[in-house]
Amino acid sequence: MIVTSESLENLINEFSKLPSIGRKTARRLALHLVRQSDDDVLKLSEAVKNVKEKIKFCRICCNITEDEICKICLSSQRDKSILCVVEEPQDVYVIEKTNEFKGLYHVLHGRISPLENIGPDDIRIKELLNRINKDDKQNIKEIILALNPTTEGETTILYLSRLIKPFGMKVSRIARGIPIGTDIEFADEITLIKALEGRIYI
Amino acid sequence: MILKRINLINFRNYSSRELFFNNRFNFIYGKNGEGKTNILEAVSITTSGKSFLGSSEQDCLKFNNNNFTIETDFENELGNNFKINVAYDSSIRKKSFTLNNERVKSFSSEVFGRFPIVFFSPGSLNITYGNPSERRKFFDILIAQTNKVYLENLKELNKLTRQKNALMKGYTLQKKFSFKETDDLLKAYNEKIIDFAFEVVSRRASFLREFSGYFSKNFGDLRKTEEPAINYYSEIFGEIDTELLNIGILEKYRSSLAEQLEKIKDEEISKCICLAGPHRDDYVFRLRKDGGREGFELRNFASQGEHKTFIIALKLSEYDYLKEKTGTNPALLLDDLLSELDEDRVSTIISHLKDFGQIFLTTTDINYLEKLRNFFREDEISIYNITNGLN
Repeated sequence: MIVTSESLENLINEFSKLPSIGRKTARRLALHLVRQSDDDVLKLSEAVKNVKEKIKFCRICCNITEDEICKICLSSQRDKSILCVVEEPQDVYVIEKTNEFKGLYHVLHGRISPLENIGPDDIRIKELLNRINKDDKQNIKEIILALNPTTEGETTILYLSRLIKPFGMKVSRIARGIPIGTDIEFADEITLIKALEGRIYI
Repeated sequence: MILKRINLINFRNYSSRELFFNNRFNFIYGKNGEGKTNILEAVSITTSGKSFLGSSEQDCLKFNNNNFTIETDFENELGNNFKINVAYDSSIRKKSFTLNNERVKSFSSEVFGRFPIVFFSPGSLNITYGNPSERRKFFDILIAQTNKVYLENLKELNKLTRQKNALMKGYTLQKKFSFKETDDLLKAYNEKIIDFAFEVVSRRASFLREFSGYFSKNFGDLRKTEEPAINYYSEIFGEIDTELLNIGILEKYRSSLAEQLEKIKDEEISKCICLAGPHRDDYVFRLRKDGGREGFELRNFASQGEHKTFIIALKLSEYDYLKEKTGTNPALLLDDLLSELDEDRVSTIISHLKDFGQIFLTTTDINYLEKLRNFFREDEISIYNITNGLN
């Protein structure tokens, strides 16, 4: 095959490295950019460049921010007695969208998975423990472990709870069960069992 | 469930081959290596997701092709039609299923177990002759087809075991994790492993109690001089009659496994593999002659004839169990089986065949056709002469 433009080929290669982008989509995206105005393409490349230059991780919760400390950690409106531990920044985003949770977060940036070579040191567990350790006034009363109910998420929950419990605060995990607005008959068996186990008395 | 039609495209030695099947008996004959078994293998891929020969999808590609397609049409007892297709694409090394032209998101919950098949080939003798893994595989597939929770628990246990192995490798060989990290993480993995091991062994025990009923009956029909037993073996409690494997013993299993895991921790860490759990258990096949107490173990002491009777009874019971649990007649796939058996057993099997639903039989010997005609009407038999995938 003859490649007629190396720079286009290059861009396709870069696009196809992105998650859930295959070769075909990468080519479509690249050709789309070729047809865009210079201005638009420049804006995009600026945005891509800035994301790496400006983004930092919050010194307290490790969430994505452009400052030393993120806006959630700085806010005086937040309840400092409750800490929600999540795997990824996007989890913070969806929980924030509910407008229900008023506590603080801690973003682990992953979960423990030795098969993928990810150990406790590769995610922000040390930062979480430091944070609890430094909490002299015992502001933190409860830690919610809101990790994904996968094999890896579950083991990370178990590992974290062992490390956190000696500090004496309440440790909880989010409930598993039937999504709202769906029928029980469409739930998979495992979810149903977990929902039965986690039933609530009324 | 009846398999009405199959269409093979670029599968094994077939470029494109469509076959329509008889509701009762499908006699597939031809020389060795012409592609008889490939037809049965294709059925196993659409119904169970994997080749029962254990081949990879890559192996199933026709030479010089990048993808294969298998289409199968089933009809249930009520006359409803189901179309299960699978397409494998070697460029992404993935196979995708459709059920009635809708993309299947979860094969295990949407398809697996709904189109039961019982496959019987000379290789099935490995179940009694072979390693414990052969027996676990046979029973795991049988239980999982009729119990999705078991399947999920088994998958979870398998994943935990692989994660734990990777952790120990990371500590011992790659020095990636510290002692404290490894120790704390091992505790977490072991706690999870114990929970799932308990679920898996409990399910195997209750399954065996139920299965033994079918098995004793089928074995008794074939042979009266001995009484068979299937016991369960685990390093934790030794070999045990499943009737005795009650909730008390299972609760003790949980605490004993915890103790055992603690005891062998150092050995596990140095070898980097999980050394205790259901993935090392076994099913012990025994035969007891009149008056004998213990019964002798099939694997080490039985004659070839006894092995064959045992495996036939196992397969018949698999059929009965699946039929009862799925509420439909499984398809019976007999691959080159008769060549392995002596005249007497062949006659016994053939005389039993009329009791089954749909049957597929591959053989190199056309003479069996005459024997079958004693049991099946002419319109109940379809004959397929297979010559190198062409005919």
